[in-house]
Amino acid sequence: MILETAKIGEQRHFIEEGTEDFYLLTLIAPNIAREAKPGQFVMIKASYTLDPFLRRPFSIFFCEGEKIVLLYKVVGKGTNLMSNWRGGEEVSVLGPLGKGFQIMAECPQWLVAGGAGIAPLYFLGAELAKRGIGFQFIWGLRYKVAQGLLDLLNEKLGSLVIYTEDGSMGGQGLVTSGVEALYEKQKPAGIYACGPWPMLKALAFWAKKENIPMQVSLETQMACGIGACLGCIVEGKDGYKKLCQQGPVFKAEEIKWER
Amino acid sequence: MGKINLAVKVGRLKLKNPVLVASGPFGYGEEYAPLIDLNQLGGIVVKGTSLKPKIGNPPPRLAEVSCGLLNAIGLENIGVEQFIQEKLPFLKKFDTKIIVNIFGFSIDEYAALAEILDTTGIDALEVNVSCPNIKTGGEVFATDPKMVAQITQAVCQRTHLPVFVKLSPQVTDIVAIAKAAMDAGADGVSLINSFPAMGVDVFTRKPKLGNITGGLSGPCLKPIALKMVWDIVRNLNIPVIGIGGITNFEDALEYLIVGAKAIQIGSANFLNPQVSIEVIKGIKAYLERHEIKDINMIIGSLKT
Repeated sequence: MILETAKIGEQRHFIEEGTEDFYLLTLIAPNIAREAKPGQFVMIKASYTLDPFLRRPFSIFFCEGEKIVLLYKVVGKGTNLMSNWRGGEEVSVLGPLGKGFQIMAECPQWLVAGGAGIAPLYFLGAELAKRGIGFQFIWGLRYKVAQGLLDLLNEKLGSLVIYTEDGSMGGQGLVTSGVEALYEKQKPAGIYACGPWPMLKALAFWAKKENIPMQVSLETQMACGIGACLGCIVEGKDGYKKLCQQGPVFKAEEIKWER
Repeated sequence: MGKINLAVKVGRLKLKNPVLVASGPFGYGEEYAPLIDLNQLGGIVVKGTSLKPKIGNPPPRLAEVSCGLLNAIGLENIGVEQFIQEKLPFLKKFDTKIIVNIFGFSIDEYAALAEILDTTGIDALEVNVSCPNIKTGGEVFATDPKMVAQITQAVCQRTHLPVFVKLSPQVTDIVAIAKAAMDAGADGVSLINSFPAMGVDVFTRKPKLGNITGGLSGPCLKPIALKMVWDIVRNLNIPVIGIGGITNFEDALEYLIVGAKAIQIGSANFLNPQVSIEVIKGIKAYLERHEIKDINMIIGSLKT
């Protein structure tokens, strides 16, 4: 756990007509980058002012050398400010935080992402590729994404199975229908997933029925990021868990999915 | 210029500097140990501690507001016995004062906590009176001077440690409450606790907090807290610890100039885990710049 003043490298905005847009932000933070593992996160102070007040948690999209890369969507005040960073600015980064994915060695693994939930799974996919563990990546979106982003993903992940709600790219439907269709052809040895709660819940029930081990990366409101404030708890089957410290990655069976 | 004195006395409690970290946001101190040198702090006020472990409120427990934070943690804590066994030994390794914040739901619980903690080697107690009294149907202790006096007296009778009563801002007359605590034997008062508050998600029409209501903290509170500190110091002769929205050394100095003997930093630890150290350095640099040798010359120096 390191508090580091990072320098902002480049920022790319992936947007074309009719696409969901994503930002790809590079931070020069050598000390954090050295330690970070797939599934861990960082907390970023988006403004030096007091509004927004809290740091923002981001799963690490990728690490390379001295760089930490984040992939995010603009969803509020903090990400809105961040989207204006052009490079050269300094920003306070706290990380790497939390427990990452426990890597399962059996092949093939399925990596199932919903929307911006792709962030921690890209880092994981790159690690699995490095270790020679076969995997299939499945990404569900509301609508299509820019070609530039797809090219970047393909570099490390190979070909992705994509599902969009409006059918503008890949198969039409939710990512869960993609998972079921793929299951006709291939049985996964394990699943890692990150995305909206309803998606994770549906997948968790499906994986349990099919007896497939599954890990999920969760998100919630967070203040300290280091296990002190107890603000980020999530309901587990055996009581509350600190998402920032005991997670953000959990085994799906640890979580109480019914809310 | 010679050495600058930052040491202060808050009643019987001697601090090497007036900067404490507040109960709650700072957990049990150990969480921040990898990020700051705890030895530099004037003191650590430990997370609110009850007789038995407390599970806390259902999520969501946090909601951000402009320049502040709503929380409804629900006083989750591991209970006093586990605190003494598992958390206190670590804290004792540091050259800083350990103040344990205690809360209960009856006067007997407060008294029992004071007795259990009396000889554990901690340096002071902070008494959170912002809890409902289950024996009188849930009236909050903090709003009634008589109940505040009873708790204070019960705690002081069971401990030789300095006792500070942490006051809620949701009262008609903060001076009357502080006076009740003082007359009952408190060494001082600390204020303010978070302000009762809530938020609503207009898309779902649900409360932003799982508990519906919670407490507001952060810099948006600071002017209110500062005025309450002022009300007490100009009306009563009682040591005050100022709390509320301190994010830098200037905020801390405002409280000290008004008359607080020490300050606590809470939510600001979230945005900057090193804020407390920076505040200490900032105060020292300020004194050097103004050629003031002793922090005590700043305390209560408000020019009116």
